[in-house]
Amino acid sequence: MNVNRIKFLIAGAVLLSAFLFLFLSAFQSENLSYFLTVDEIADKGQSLSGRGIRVEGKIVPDSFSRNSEAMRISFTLQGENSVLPVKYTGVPPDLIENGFPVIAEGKINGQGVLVAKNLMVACPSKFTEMKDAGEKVPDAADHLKLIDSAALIKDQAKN
Amino acid sequence: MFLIELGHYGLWAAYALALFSAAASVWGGLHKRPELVAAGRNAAIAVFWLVSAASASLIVLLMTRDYRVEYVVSVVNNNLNAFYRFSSFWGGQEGSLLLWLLLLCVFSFIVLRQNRHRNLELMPYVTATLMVTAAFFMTILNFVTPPFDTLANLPLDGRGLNPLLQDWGMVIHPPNLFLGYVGFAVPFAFCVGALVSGKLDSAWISTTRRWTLMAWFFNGIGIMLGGAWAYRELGWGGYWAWDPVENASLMPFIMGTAFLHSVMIQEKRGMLKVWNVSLIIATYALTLFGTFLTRSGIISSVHAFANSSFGWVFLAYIAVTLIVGFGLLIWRLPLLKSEHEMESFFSREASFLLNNVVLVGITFAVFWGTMFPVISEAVKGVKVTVGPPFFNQVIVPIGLLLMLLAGVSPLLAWRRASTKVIRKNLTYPVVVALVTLAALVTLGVRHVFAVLAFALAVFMVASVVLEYHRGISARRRHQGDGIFAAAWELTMRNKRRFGGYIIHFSMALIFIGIAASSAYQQVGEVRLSVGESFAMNGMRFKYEGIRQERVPQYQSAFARLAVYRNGARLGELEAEKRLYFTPPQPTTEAGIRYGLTEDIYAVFSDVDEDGSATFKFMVNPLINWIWAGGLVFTLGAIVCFLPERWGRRRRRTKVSGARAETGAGTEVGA
Repeated sequence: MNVNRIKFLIAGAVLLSAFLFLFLSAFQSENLSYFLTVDEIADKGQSLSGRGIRVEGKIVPDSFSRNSEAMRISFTLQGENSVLPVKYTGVPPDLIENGFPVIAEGKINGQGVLVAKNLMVACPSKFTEMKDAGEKVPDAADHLKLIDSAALIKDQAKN
Repeated sequence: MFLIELGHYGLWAAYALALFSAAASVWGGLHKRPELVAAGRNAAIAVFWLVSAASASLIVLLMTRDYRVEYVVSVVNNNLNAFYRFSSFWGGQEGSLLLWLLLLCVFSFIVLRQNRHRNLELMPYVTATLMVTAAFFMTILNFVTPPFDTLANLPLDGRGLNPLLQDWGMVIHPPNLFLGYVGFAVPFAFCVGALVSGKLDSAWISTTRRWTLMAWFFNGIGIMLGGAWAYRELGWGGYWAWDPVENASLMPFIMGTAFLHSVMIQEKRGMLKVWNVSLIIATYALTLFGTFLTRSGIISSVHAFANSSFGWVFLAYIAVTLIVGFGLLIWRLPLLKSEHEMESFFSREASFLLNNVVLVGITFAVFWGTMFPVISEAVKGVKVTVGPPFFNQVIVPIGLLLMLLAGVSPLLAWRRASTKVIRKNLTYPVVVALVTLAALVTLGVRHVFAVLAFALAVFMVASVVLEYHRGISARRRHQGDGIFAAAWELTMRNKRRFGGYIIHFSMALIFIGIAASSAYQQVGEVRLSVGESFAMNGMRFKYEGIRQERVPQYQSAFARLAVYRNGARLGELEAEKRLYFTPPQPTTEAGIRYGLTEDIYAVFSDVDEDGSATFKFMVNPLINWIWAGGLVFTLGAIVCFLPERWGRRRRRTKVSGARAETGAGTEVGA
């Protein structure tokens, strides 16, 4: 093995260790969140406090409430045997009330409520699955509420 | 009824022919039976015609809203206009797989035409590889997600295309990405051809140079279009979230970037042969993996495509690809000896190798982060996801190293650069970068990574400018050209090298845009009544009221906003909320005031009866540099792609032109 090759091997080893260091140092607890189901969260309870959690589930019908003034929403996620209350402050995603599965990321507080930092909607690109699963496809009327209120404002503006 | 049958049986016939073509080609190639090779070739061409006919049928069925077909019902409805009816060809699972197959068949057809009299030793295995891939996609299309299945009862209306996909960005994003994914199948197929036939010179690389470039370009531009769509349509003000589906498209692009650079070393110096073969196998496997990841539902993603049952078929095919690819590679190792040794750290080869290691490192980090839930579940029994902070922490520093290399590499000579030459070449770019750094810090830019990214981007640009400056001055001295004529001639006479520099320049623009918009984005969320204002760092947004519009597909509410900076009125902004009728679904169309220095971005979330509405306001600095970079990227790729002789002026004297062209230069592509 010539000197040149040894030099390159050493350089490679240094580079790889640098990558490895970077890599391992990024695996800190604040970068990780545990992917759990609603039931697993209910089982583990308080032991989860302070840990990042990611949970996916359907919103329990009629559990959705919105405090527009304070820009807060809250709802309950459905599990097999248990439910999980979730709170979120900020602008929620468009399809939050459409009955699609919701992905919430955040931490459990002292009251067992998931305080979500991130809220996403997993929307299927096809509606077939929803129909096949026998779920209620959201009614157009549900969504015209917003337009109705907008129309109302317009009328008021005219008067 | 005819069209449905044509599509249905066409795909089955194509399936049989593709399998026959693969078998006949391999057999004919191994046993030197030209008639079998010809039969394989003709069968592959027949596959192209059959798949084209099937695709045309599906398009006609969609355009005429033939609701007997289940797929048509799932993506089209009575309100959908012709443009979106056409694009709904790839709006759902079945159609998008058919588009994939169609592109593969078109590429195979072109490859077969181009190589009728060329690369004859390789071609049987090239045909076979492409047809095995086609057969794999037809396995899925025929057995798992048949696009031509019919419904028992004829519905009156379809369920419609997902409203989020009813946007030009989403119309052209998937075909672009697919062109990229499928395009990489061609260099892979030639690589397999070279391995099997044992003809392992650089012919497989030079033949597929433009294919690789095309695939890489469309993969890149596809990613960018996806980001631009997310930015306008999803209303979170960002363009990239390290979501598994996004990562899936990024990985083959980065691996392809490594391949694109390292093949130059093989062409110039006959080195890194094993590495190049490994890279293209990995790139191709990553395109398959990307398709698998987006469709299998194995990893939780916001993009959640139709969750389908063919995940294992895909994994099996990826495994076969890797085993066959690397198996052939190991078998042929004795033929893949390097013709030269690395001589010095300060050589083009060494810097390219380093760039390759960095790119593969990035790919690995993205892969690991994306697959971590699956890995941690297998190892520890808990699904753990890593979020964007993980990716940013790992990839930003490696990315900065990559920018440094992109600036240095073009200025190093092949084999060994003397200290004198290094000093001469690097002084100017290094000084410019350091001045930028000092100026930014003096001006109060304190975000460490952003400052470094800006300085390194300037370094990259300076290295490109230096190369242009030298070439242009040489031409001016020797030919007496004007500046623009000299720049044009220089580029046209060295398309790969200067096209590559243009792409480096575009990357600098993109990195600046990414660094600025991620480090200095400002966000405010607020509830406003009509007439109220919201102030944020010198900006003021005044909510002036609601306006409505109705079109056949949807109804819109626009929130009208007046935007002020430091008291001066900048103009109006309308943030839109749409409600589609079928399927009933709201979408956000962010109100964006585009600008060279910053975008002003407003999202209209909801509104109450009293008119008070919730907004999200953002200022995204330099974000348009990313899209501008995309345009420059396109320009550079076109330059690299153009025919060798195109755009050159006829030579005046025989000796002169040569001088400017023989400097230390780099070239893009194989």
